[in-house]
Amino acid sequence: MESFLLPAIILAAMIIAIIMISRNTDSAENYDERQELVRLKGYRTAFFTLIFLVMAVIFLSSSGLSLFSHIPASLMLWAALFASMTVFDLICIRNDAFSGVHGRSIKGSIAFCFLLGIPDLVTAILNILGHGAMEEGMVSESVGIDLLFGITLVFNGLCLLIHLLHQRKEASEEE
Amino acid sequence: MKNLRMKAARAAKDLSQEDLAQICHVTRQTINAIEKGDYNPTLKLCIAIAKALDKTLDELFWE
Repeated sequence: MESFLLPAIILAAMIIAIIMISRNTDSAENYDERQELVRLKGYRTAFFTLIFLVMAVIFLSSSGLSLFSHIPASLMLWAALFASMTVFDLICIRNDAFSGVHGRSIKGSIAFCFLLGIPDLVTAILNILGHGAMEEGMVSESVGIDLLFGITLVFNGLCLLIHLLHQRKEASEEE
Repeated sequence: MKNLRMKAARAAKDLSQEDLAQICHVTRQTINAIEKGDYNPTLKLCIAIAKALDKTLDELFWE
């Protein structure tokens, strides 16, 4: 039952995010035209990354390779989802299309990533050290998702932090 | 190709990239990308920039 809790929470969070994004129809108010183009490129690249990775998961899970026979297909699908989301985030962060014209602050996003990601990562590592990562010969799904979620958030937080420092340098050079 | 005329016009009005960005309702990075020649703005944004800098489109953007 517990193994379904985290995926259910993530799924619920994603559904809420999708509803909130789709309700905000006048997105031109939030992102300028260059940012809209960058985000479009990000969505496209992330979509094809997801398609490619899902195909890879299907291939690997049916290939019978011993390495992948210990990883549940659902965990590999979660990894594909997190990877494609990271691709989108990286494109947006790299091209300054992460927060809108009057959007959320980068500092807030960094804090969000670290506050949510680090505890998740630490929990996953402690679980692995305490009980191991395997359950009945397979990689534990809950530990795996914790680890993936934590790595994704901390990685995004680090990217945002580097970007913020780069932006400050660029702004001071411009002045 | 860098848009030095836009940069000069902005400097002449004593506006920072951030100031011009706020007037045109875009981000500072977008103004920076236009000045560096990394981004081709739409006609709508070109007009907004030209109005903000009291210049014509020809003066700012015509080769």
